[in-house]
Amino acid sequence: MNRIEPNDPRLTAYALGELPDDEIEDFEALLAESPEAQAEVDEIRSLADELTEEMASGAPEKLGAEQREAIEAGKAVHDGARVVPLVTKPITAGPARRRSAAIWAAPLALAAAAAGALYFSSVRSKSPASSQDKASAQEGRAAGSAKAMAVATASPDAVGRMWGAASASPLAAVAPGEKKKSDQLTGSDQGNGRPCDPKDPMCGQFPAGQLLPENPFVDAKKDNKSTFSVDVDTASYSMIRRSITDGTKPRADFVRVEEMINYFNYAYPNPDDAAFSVTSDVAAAPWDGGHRLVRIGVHGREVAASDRPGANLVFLLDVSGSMNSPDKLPLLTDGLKLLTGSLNEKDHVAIVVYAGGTGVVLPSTSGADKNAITSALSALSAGGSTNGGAGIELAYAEAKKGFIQGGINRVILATDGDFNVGITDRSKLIELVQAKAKDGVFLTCLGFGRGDMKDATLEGLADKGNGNYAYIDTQAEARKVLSEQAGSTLQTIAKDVKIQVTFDSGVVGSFKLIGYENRMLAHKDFTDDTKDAGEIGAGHTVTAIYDVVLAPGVTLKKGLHLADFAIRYKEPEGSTSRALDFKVEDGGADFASASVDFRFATSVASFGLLLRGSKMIGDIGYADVEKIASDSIGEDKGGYRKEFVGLVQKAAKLEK
Amino acid sequence: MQQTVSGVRDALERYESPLLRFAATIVGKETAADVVQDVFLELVKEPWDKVEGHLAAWLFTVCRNKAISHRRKSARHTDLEEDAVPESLDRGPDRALEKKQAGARIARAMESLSERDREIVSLKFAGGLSYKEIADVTKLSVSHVGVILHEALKKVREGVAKGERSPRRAV
Repeated sequence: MNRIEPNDPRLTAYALGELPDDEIEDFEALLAESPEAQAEVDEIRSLADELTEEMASGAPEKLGAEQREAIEAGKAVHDGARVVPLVTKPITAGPARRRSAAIWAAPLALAAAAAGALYFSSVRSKSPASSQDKASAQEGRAAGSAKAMAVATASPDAVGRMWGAASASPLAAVAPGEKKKSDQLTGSDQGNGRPCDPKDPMCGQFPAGQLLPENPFVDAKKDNKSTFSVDVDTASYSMIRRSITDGTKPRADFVRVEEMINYFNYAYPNPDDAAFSVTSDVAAAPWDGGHRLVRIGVHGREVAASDRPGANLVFLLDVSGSMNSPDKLPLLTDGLKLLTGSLNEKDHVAIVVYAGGTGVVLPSTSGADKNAITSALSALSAGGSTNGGAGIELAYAEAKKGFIQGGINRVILATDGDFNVGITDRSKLIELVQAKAKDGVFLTCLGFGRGDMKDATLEGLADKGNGNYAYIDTQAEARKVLSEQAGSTLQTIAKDVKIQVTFDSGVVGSFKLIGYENRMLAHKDFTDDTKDAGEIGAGHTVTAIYDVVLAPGVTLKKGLHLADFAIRYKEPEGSTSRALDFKVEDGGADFASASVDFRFATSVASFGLLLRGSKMIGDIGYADVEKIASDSIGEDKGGYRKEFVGLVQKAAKLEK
Repeated sequence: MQQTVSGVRDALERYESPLLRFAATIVGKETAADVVQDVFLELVKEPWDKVEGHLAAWLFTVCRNKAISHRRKSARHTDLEEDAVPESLDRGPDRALEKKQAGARIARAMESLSERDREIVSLKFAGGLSYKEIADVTKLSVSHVGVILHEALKKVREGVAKGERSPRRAV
């Protein structure tokens, strides 16, 4: 068996498309055996692109008019003919483009996979109260309290305005104890936020780099409802992890507490044949024994790989120069190779790249043809500038070509987020993503790299595109998102999932939802099926925690009724929602006797609140968080919780 | 890929930009156009049947010779050692280059190559020539060109990696 030695010049010849045709097959066979050699080829290609770019930068494209005339004149003199002005056309063929020609010509393999219908039965409810009519009754009440709602909860519009003027936010909040109102608007100057232009249609939707004010305590007498969209994104946690690991305190605007909580798995009951299970439990808050924490947990049905319907995936990959970094493109291609490993003949994959130009580097190809997919991924190299807009259109066009009725149709956008598109384009981008989601093609965003990643843009796109958003900082994270949790990443179990909690204002004095700041909905949007909300994928868990203060004079007792809540969702291809109702009763538990998962989730929430400088967690510090977390590690499959404890320790050191 | 080029105008259209890029690596971007103009003034005097079939090699050979002699002349003029280093590869007046850290690292790494190797890299990535065309320009064998390019790219990569160890700002 011939191995490829590092000094084998065929590596470069192959990478540059210079290997003679009759040698390619043998070389590729050797290459398939050697990940090192593949990596070498990748590196050569990316250097080649950089060199091409570098040598073109600054050099004149064309001769000057005078110089051309001089040549023309010289020619005229030589030919003895009269001068004819030259017509020049742009030169098209550059070495970087040449390589993809062979792939462009590859045969279209549109696998017409059979549509595996998602089956959906009624959701198991813990304590069902009633059904649809109750929802409309609630809506009536919501309308009645519309005025209170406008100040106390954040409708998307209200939130938008608050971003514009966070420090002057008119939050009519009731903070317990002696908390000052200004305390709730923490650190709005910590992110390198820009004020958003009210004329910008995206103003309020993408608060790039702006820290949303922490949800306030709401007086239940004024408004006893809380409405929000679920969020299964996890990007915030991995960004924070990366930052702390790098030795920098995370930017406060990267902290989305719900994404941190939802990064971890909690042992919610398996929904059996229902779409998801819903549970709630209550215990004292670690920061104040008088506060009650209400945890709501939703667990999407697990789907065995063999039961998964066919997937029509389009990888839309940013290969601009900025992706040329060991923590970007290589991480991305490795991750997608893992994902490819879990595909089969029901599935197909297309690859679209964008940078200065856009192109289909792999037309829709059967998931059984793993070689074709992985070698196309290996052949990617970074170079050029980014233009996310055009690439997305091409990707959706590919997705449409390979559309699987009843299957998973998804564009997976991977980028360091450096979209080179203007504001108007960005709003068009959102419109496009939204329209395509309606047509059944969902969007997943994978973020890479540090610093300039447009975190909020990606989160917003995934949100509007019925998708999820993960930030890939390490090989392990790539494996978690694209292999271990491939099912959740790909398969949506329920879409537009909204939760509305109605507190018993005779029992509850005030309440506060921890996190979900940019997922808050107006109460009336709960029953409005045209209003978009979050998706739940196969096996996803979603956790929301409320911090609740009992009304004066109410004493804690077992079975105390705190609230009712309803979940609304649509089937992945449905357009009308259904609702399920639940009750929250307090079992009177103190924090120490709460379940392992409850305590761990609380430690993560506390950590997030600490990082964003919250003043609403009493005097809880990093040491307390570390203690709670290390006491509630439990089974810890994958070691994520242990890693969290280490992260808290590091963050504590950074604080000093 | 090889398109038929049937005259000076076609040649100009096809090779103007690659020649400008290549010349810029030797004399800098300011004077590249002068050199390339001279190349084409030379071409119009050449009987077409003498260049046909190996036009790229002819153009880049002439371009290289003219660029090198131009650089020698201007070096003698100013007596500055630094002028011998191509501007686009150096700190030079090219501000865009300064901005692009990665580009600067590559440029520095390129400087560690011998003149011959650097020229071959330039013929490949600035000129966009094939191994065969480079072999014609440099009078080396195709396989020798392959070996040189492979080793040169490795050296550049190592140089870039070394330059990359400066601390980076995190999230």
